[in-house]
Amino acid sequence: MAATPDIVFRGRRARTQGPVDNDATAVIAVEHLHKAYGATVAVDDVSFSVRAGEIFGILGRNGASKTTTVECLSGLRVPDGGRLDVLGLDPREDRRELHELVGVQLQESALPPKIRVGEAVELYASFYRRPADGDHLLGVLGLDEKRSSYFRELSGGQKQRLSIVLALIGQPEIAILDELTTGLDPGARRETWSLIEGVRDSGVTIVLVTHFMEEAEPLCDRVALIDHGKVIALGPPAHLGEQASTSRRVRLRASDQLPDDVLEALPEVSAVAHHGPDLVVIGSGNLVTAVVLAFDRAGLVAEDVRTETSTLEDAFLALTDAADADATAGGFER
Amino acid sequence: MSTTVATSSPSRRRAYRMLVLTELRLAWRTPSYLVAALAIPVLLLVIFGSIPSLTRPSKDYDGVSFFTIYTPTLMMVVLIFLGLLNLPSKMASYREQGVLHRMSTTPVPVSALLGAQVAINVMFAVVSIALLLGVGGGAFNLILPV
Repeated sequence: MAATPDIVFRGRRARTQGPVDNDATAVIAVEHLHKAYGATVAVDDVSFSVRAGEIFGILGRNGASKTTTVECLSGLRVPDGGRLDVLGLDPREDRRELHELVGVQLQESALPPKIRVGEAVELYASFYRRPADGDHLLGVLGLDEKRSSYFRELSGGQKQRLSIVLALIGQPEIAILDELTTGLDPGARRETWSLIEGVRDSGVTIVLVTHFMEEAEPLCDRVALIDHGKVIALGPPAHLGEQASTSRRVRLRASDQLPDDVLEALPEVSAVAHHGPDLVVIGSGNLVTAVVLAFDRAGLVAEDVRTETSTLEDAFLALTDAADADATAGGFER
Repeated sequence: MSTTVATSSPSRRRAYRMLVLTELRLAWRTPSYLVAALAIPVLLLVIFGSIPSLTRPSKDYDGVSFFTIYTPTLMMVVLIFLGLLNLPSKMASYREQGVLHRMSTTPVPVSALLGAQVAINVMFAVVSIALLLGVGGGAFNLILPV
């Protein structure tokens, strides 16, 4: 623990050097990142910044260039264009220094099948100048009893927890975690989430790459939604939900059925659906008033009227669909 | 940055020692390669050494036995096995399993793992050759070049 001030010093010096972001607390700044493999554009134009001490989500569907973005940040791939700044370092130039300060857990990376958990932790600790206490980390992540197990004997959740241990063993300032909970059962996933929050509370900035909405929503302070190599939305998960709520949903129970076509005739309404006893009306504008008035005109009472706020999941689908439509339209023009 | 270089070298040495130790442990836990590299050449040596006609000095081989002539060939078999089969297949499986990918995110370059593999294979080669010379010279009349 006595060794930490040096890391803090390095980080602080680095941050004052980097004239990158208006945001004084930014630890990662990405500006117009571009990366292509031959004719395939993996990352088109991605910009975002990550603030110190937050959990930042990079969200997108499979193949939406999340991993390439993160690999550029980690210095594993050389971008074709744009500016990258991680703790004042250029991932292209200062890889070794970067890896001292940034712990990375990547997809499709693993350990030799017959290495024991304790040995792996000891080995990876030796890679860093100031390693954390490996035994303590194993205890925190509930792998105490697995210390002498082979890597191949671990369950999926235990492997992921070990990969968190290894990402944190160098006492990083930033931890980049890629698709951490993919393939885990819901219980293990929830457990992993609370672990990540614990890590953040210990002062580590976390970049979480995921395609699970239900993961980003409770966990992330801010989210960048990436699709087709571009950031299509950026902000706190709740705001993204609002951003996408061009369509509103009203759920209600009526004292008696009103024919669907009466509702569908209203200019505000785009669709009507029945969910058991509930009537769900989807539309835009002043939907609630229009629907309730329509019931009133028919002499019926609309009860238990609820407007449903759109979730990040809705936002995700709405925003990526819009991007899809743009892409298709572009294709036809040519 | 000069301080970085100064403080990094001891940790780099420690990392390299740990890598060599780990690779030795892993090799020990997958003994098929070790058996192939260490035991089979010695077994062949024992078989050849047990055939009387092969251990008799022969005019065809400048007055030494076929057994003596053939021992260096066995040593070469060991080196070929370690260098062309053991080491490359281990590195290939590390790549396939994502071990190299995982390590590439640490401050220690993947080349250190290759270095550790080279080191342990050199150790195996030395042990194997020492075994061949020891068994050949001790139990059979292997004539060492002077």
